Amino acid sequence: MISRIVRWAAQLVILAGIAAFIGALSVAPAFTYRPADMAFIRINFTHGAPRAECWRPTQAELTKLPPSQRRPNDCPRERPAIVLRFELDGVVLLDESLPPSGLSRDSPSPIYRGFSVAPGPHRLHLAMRDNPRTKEYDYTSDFDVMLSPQQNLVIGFDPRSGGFRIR
Amino acid sequence: MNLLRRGLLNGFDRAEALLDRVFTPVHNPLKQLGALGTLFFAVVIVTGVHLYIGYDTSVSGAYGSVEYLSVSAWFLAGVARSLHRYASDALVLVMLLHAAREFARDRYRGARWFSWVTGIVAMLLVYGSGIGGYWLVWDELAQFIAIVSMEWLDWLPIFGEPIAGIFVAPDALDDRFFTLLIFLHIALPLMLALVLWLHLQRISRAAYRPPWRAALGAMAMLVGLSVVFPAVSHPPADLARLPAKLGLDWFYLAAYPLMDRLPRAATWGGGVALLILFTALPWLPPLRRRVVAVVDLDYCNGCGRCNDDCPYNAIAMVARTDGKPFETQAVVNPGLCVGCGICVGACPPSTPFRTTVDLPTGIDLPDPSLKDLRGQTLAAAARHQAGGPRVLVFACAHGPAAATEFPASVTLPCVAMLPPSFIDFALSRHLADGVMLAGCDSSACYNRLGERWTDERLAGKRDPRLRARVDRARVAVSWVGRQSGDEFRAALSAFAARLSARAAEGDKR
Ligand code: HEM
Ligand code: SF4
Ligand code: SF4
Repeated sequence: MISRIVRWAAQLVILAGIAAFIGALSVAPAFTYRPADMAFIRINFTHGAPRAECWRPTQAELTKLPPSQRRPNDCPRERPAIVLRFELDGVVLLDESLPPSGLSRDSPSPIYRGFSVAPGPHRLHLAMRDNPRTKEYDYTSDFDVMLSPQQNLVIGFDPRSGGFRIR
Repeated sequence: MNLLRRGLLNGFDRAEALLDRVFTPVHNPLKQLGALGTLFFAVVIVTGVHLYIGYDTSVSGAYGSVEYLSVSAWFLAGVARSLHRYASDALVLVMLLHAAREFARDRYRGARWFSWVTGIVAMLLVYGSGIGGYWLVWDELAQFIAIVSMEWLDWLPIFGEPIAGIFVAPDALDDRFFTLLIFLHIALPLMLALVLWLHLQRISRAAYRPPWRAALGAMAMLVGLSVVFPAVSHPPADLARLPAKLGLDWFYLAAYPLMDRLPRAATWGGGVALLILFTALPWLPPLRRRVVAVVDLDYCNGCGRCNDDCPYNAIAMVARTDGKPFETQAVVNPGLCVGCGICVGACPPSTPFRTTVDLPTGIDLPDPSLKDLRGQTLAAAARHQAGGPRVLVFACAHGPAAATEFPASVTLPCVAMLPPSFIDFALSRHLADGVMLAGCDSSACYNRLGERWTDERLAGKRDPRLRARVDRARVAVSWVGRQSGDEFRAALSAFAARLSARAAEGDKR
């Protein structure tokens, strides 16, 4: 049988050990989420491309259709995809067609994309096409920014205020 | 599966044996994990109410209010915040150990599935509450949690637009969100309290309160830690910047680095697969044959002892259905019964002295039945080794192999299945010079209450009592775990030596 004093001492040591374990694991080891010497650019917005025009068949065209499909006009619910292009200092980082969301593909196209970049001065070029029939970009913007380490620059989009904006 | 369980079991056996010597079995923290969990949960609730009074549910005010509470406010508020954090961490620690231990000790299958599954729900609620708590502080760590959580949830195609968006742009976040968070941080623990109550529904006399000295030790540990190493916040959240180095609370946030770095499909798939696997464990092989107690109304007088002694609330006393002049009768709910046999040991007609061959009693197990026990007792008595006093051992199946493999021994699912009259029977019929009851580990009875009822029955404090005429010097008990075969052997030799000494004295007289 261990003596009472030794037991008490051992209890103290074990409790202190558990306390140290809890205290330590509650803050350490540290985890680095994003490197402290980098800056970040995040493109985050949703934009719905306008739906295609309705198709209004003539009387002649209508009679050619099977009776069950004879509707005076046919307006598509689906939205087309948008095309987004992002260049940083002349380098293309993104050039993609972004599909609409939703089960019937009738909701806006979301984008949530991040880029890790070196801090310092940068030129951002953004372009977006939301009309599948044109070859031109419907919106373009250029921004000159000065990024500090750990800065989180967010690129948004709002057609009412003229297109791209940075925050 | 068996391999994993055996490995864990050996680990627990060793650690428990060591801590038994330091803390005594009754105060051994590893044998009090569930009860310590309720204690820590209670500490979290009390300190949480205290913190809530000072918390400001707005984007701009949240951080400052927590800082104020922990730095400038009344000394006690700072300690309260630290206690709130460390008790939550300790809760995770004991909860995980408790789950691992119930698994290792094979106490999660059969009728025990309910405790297992409600335990998993409790675990999810603990994590939800804790992660929400870190979020409320609205420091850089909270910002990290917010971004990673939302990016992770965004993988599910349920939100039209990325909800993580509101945590990467300064102007998208509003105060309502914090009101929602604090609501969740109160609602989830309330649900946890409800689930924990459910968790304990299927067992009787649940050990949800640790012995007061163990509680005192645990509290001293938490307060000491809070004073020496108070909990602090990271710098305030700033959505225009991304956090870099973070001191993570790994008890709650261990999954977050993985959620951030691994592909979402992998973390979602892995997480869901693990959850399903853990929840389904009670129904996965190796399957166990289920043994359930059966009532024989011809012998049940409705005394209620079985109902009182059953550790799993499996017996109900209901109005008599067979016209016998008793008020009640026992009914077993087979879904709750774990087949420990403790009720057999409690039932008045369970005695081996009767002359009937089948030895029917009020409540019995199909295997081993009371009749089997008497047969095995007689058979064991025929296996006494030559030389020395003849000791008959009644061994718990969950005790040391040295006991179950002893030649003159009878193995039971729980020593409390043995009606005390069997001891009287063995001694008065000269089947043995001494009887030893070899249970499982002290304060860690596999069937929860077997040790307590056995001790009380032998001490004459609980029905059925060991008759007064039985010479107590010829009865011994041992409560040691599977790994403690040596201790069992030592106790057995000491008992045999006492019996020899008495015999020699008797001869002299
Ligand atoms: C918040 C966390 C939890 C607390 C406070 C807690 C508390 C308790 C308590 C007090 C008991 C009764 C012990 C006794 O009287 O014998 C118990 C039993 C049990 N717990 Fe938990 N528990 C928690 C989480 C879990 C988890 C996560 C699991 C497993 C996934 C689990 C599995 C079990 C099982 C299987 C039993 C029954 C043991 C038996 O039938 O003999 N518990 N728990
Ligand atoms: S064997 Fe008897 S005491 Fe044990 S759980 Fe079943 S009914 Fe309860
Ligand atoms: S202990 Fe036996 S006699 Fe008493 S109520 Fe239970 S089954 Fe009936």
